[in-house]
Amino acid sequence: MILSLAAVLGLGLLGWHLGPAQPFLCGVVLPLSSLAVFLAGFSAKILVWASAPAPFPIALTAGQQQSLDRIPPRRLEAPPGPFWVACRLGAEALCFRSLLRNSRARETPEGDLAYQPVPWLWLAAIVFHYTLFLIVLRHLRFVLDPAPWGLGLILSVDGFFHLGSPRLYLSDGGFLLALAFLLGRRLWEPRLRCLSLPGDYFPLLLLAALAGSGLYLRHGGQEDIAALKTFAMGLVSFRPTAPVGAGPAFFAHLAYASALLLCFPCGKLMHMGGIFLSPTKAMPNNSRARRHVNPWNRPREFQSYAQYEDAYRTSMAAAGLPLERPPAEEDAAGGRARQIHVPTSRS
Amino acid sequence: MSPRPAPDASTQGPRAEQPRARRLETPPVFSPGSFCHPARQETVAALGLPHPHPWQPTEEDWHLPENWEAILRAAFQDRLRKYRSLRVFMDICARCGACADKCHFFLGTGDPKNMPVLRAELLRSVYRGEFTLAGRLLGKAAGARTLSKTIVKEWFAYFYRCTECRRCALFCPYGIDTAEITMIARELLLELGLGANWILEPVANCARSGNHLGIRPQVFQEMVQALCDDIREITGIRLTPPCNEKGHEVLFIAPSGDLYTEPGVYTFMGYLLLFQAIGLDYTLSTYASEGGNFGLFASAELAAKVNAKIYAEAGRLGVKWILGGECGHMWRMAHQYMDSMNGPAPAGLEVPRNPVTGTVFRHAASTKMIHIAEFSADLLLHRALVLDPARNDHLIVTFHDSCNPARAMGLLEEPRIVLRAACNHFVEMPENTIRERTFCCGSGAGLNGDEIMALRMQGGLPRGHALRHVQRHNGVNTLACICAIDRNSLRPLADYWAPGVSVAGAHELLGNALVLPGEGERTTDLRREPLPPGGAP
Repeated sequence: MILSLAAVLGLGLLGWHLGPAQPFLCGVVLPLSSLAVFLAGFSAKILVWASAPAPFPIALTAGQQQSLDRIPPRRLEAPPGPFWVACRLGAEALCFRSLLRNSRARETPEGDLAYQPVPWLWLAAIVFHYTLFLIVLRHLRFVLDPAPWGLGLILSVDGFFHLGSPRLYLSDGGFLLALAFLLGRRLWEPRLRCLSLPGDYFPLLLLAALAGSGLYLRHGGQEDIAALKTFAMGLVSFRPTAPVGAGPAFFAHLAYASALLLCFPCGKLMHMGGIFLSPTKAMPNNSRARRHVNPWNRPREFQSYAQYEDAYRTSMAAAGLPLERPPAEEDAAGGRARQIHVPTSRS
Repeated sequence: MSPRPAPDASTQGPRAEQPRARRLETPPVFSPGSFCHPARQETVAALGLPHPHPWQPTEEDWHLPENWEAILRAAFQDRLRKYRSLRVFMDICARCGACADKCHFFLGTGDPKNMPVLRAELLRSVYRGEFTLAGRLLGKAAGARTLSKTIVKEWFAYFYRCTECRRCALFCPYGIDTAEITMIARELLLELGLGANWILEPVANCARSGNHLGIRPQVFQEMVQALCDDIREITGIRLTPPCNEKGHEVLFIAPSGDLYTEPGVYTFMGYLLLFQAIGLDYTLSTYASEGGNFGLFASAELAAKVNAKIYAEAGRLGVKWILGGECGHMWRMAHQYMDSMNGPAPAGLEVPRNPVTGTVFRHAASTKMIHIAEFSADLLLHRALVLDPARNDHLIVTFHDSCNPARAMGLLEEPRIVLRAACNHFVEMPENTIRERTFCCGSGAGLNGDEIMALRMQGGLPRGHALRHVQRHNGVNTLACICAIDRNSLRPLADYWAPGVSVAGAHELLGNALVLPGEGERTTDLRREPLPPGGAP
């Protein structure tokens, strides 16, 4: 935690001091190269994951399978085919369905363990991700000219409560609350303290700093919005001009954004892409209906029936069990069993 | 027998809220009752596995091969290349903690490394240190570790403290499956000659005699005949199940445990009674006499080898389809691995079709194998069985969903249809402990040896608590299940956590209730306990 905090603060200081002095480096080179690393890294990671095969259909069934006609299946939980897999993934990616199942084990007065549903992690995760998404969407007004109608709608809904001037956005408030909860639980709950790594605190702190610097830019700084928009449009049209004259807070904000993009492909933030390749969620539960081919499967040697019968023929005959080759035939062959090779199972 | 802690004293569970810092650095402890006996040198050699050697977990030196690090690295790389699951699961854990208190071993022991997230970190930290840029550059700051012999010991300790039940994966937003990680970790350990005896010995037996226990063909047949003698005494009906016979419609395969242990034998009797009741044209096989597959708990390779006999035999005997008995991991294998590993099904096999009801089991169209609960449920839904459930009136029954049918098939309603038809008094355990959220018996994935009874009882805490809750509130005295390992392991679990509850297979209870044409008056159930008064027809 301390390590991550130090890293984040250090980053901010770097941006704050270096930025105004080196506007081209910090305003153009850094963000663009970070974006390139992000795009390349993200794609590379997805390709690395996808290049490994999923040899076995190990879907995790969270509900009744589709079997008999008169038993209603839970298709979202035990998807019988690709369409329902897509629905399941959608439910997972858009609604964080599995987190809704979360529960906490508690002891009853009788001394038994009981499990209460707890929605807080789900709620915080949903708010966190959706507000982040909204915030990113709102930034589109810096790179789109004229700003599309949808964006205007988002801005007016977001600023519904007319708090302060400039208006405090709901998504900003929601994001900070959710972030505080997620960070707070990691610092407060012993179990989470036990399992958290620096790489868990770092993104949270980074996003907090990003949000903080963004809020400062919006509500506290004296930035020239028009100039910033010109700069942003220059970036996305690949005719960049350095944002000379922008304040240190702006460079800090850019530094944090660049850091986020840079570290994205390396760590757990890749869960965004990973969910779609997770075999337990992304495979259908139709493994007895349709054969799933394992590309690296190979035929295996195992004891054939012929070898088994050779080993036990006499006692099997005594027990009256049917035989492929009765003992008399074996004696006639001089006691040496002829190896009948039953075709081995092979894919 | 290893020492057992008292039911309420030892288990800290969620009360252990203050784990010590530097948890990954805490070396593993091999206390009596917490670890599996190592696989013997002869067994490892007989299976053709690398580096067979004698070793003991309690000793300092495990006699690893000289180049153990290179072996592990290569093996890890190989699995990363072959399994997308491993690649993705190593990368995307967000350490949100949702899985943490969902594992029965964590709830029962309070050991932080039994939290699924940390169990996976045992492997993931090495993955980072060995294979990722961030890990190599930043070391501990990225949560990376370099291989050490202590880590190998830790892997043996903790990957043989996971029953591959996948409950954690249910609560993970990305479905990170600790079972998959455990399976692969066990494969890595096998590369160094480190295995568990309770798992590898049955695999070796299967290679010789077709079943885990080394039951030879004539003994198999004698055991079946002994059960038929019991059936004749109880029902008056003489059964002569075919064995190794060609020309039948169905090959029936049950876990071998149902043939020789209690209460499995009563379930086996239930199978035979069911087949008699509908006149099913089936055969047993002494060669393919094991539905279970302890190879699945060792490696993909051994799983495939053990399972290969089923299709080979079905092809040899010329049956049309395969019916599988009540076994948990057998069905994980049959539903998710069999077709890919040993398929396609032999030519001549057809899509399973119920000869009595005409139902075509399209969901098994490729594998050509159906679960007996699917078969019986179909019969019951078509009212094709004559039952007298009052014969089970002395039983207040609840149902334990076994992990694999629940989370690797979705077989939830079918056994309930059987139980509700066979019993008048059926009660469910609390919602969060059944169906897809079911708690493991604590003894799965080969962890059902006597040497780890202490661990098993701790792991059985959540299931035990749910059971005693319904015992206390509903008078439950029978725990039904559809898994042979469960029938074996839920008995000590019930004795420990909910004394007075007995364990039964679903088809034992069905067998009790079945009214067969030509049967005499029944005065006892299949266990030879007197039927409830007024219950006999």
